[in-house]
Amino acid sequence: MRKFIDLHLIPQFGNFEKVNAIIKKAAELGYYGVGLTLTPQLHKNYLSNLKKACKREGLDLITRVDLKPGDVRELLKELRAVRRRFEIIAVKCHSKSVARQAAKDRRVDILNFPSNDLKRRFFDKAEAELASNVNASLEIDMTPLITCTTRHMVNLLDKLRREVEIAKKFDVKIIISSGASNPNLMRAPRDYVSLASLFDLERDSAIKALSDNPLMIIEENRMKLSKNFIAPGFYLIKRGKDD
Amino acid sequence: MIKRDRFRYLALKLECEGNIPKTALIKSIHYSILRLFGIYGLSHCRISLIEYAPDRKYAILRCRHKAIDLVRAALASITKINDEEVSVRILLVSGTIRALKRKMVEKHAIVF
Repeated sequence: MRKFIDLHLIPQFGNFEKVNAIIKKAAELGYYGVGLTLTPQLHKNYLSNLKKACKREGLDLITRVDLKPGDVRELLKELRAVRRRFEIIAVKCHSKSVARQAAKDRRVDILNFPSNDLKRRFFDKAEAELASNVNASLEIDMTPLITCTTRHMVNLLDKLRREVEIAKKFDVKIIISSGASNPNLMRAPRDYVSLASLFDLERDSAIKALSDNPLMIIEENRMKLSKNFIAPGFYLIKRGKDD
Repeated sequence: MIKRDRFRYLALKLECEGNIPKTALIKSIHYSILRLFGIYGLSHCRISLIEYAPDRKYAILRCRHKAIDLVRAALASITKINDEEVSVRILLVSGTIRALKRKMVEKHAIVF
């Protein structure tokens, strides 16, 4: 059976009941894992409570942070601070310079562009080429698509169609996630697959964007964050004395 | 020879706080398909609401089997009905009502 992941949930951490409702809904919808967007300041106890809540529902918790830097220097500074602490690093690109730097940097896993301001979606051929070199993925949030006005949806779909085409051409992995902040906006994986057909993402690619692509990033990053990681391609297999 | 239409039956669960009337539900499904796929898309779907229990918030919807993805996308894009936040969840899809009802009992312990 496929393991579906919703890599982008944005719960309000002030209210644990609401966070719990999101986790429960994800389990009901048949997800294997959820990526909760955390803040670097989040307390360790809170994180362990989240892990327990996910475990209770049979979900895999993936820790994720969304960086929203104003300029390149800020991006580099934030990356230095958080890379070793979170499993997924996503960058919300609000300017072209940030987008380009994020696409160049190996520490960035996901590129996310604003859906409300289409002029700020900088995913063009140059961006795709850079992202492809460092294996960064393009994330498409579905909540803005189902909540926006008809007129905005027309433009957003047009933009997404072009981005999907570019991503395919340059072999950039696509990730589909909800981007939901409340349980009513979460949908089942199969619903997202159907919605993805609106921007010409084929069924198989859409299923991969919800399962294989996020899983690959998670496994790779967990390996890198483990104590046995030495350098890319080098892992400690066994500790002990020579016989 | 003209082929007979094949259908799919979808068991739906409405997740909302208040009660939603049948007419409002079917109107909003129609509107959602129209919004995403236009009149041409809607004409392909042949949608009808077979059963609806407003108090328990379960429904059975019928559509052409080739339009199942259209209907899924349209249902997923419903966020409000009568100014109330709603999400429509597809619990099961089946080829006959009888099989759908049987599966509903087996998998979700729900009797229509």
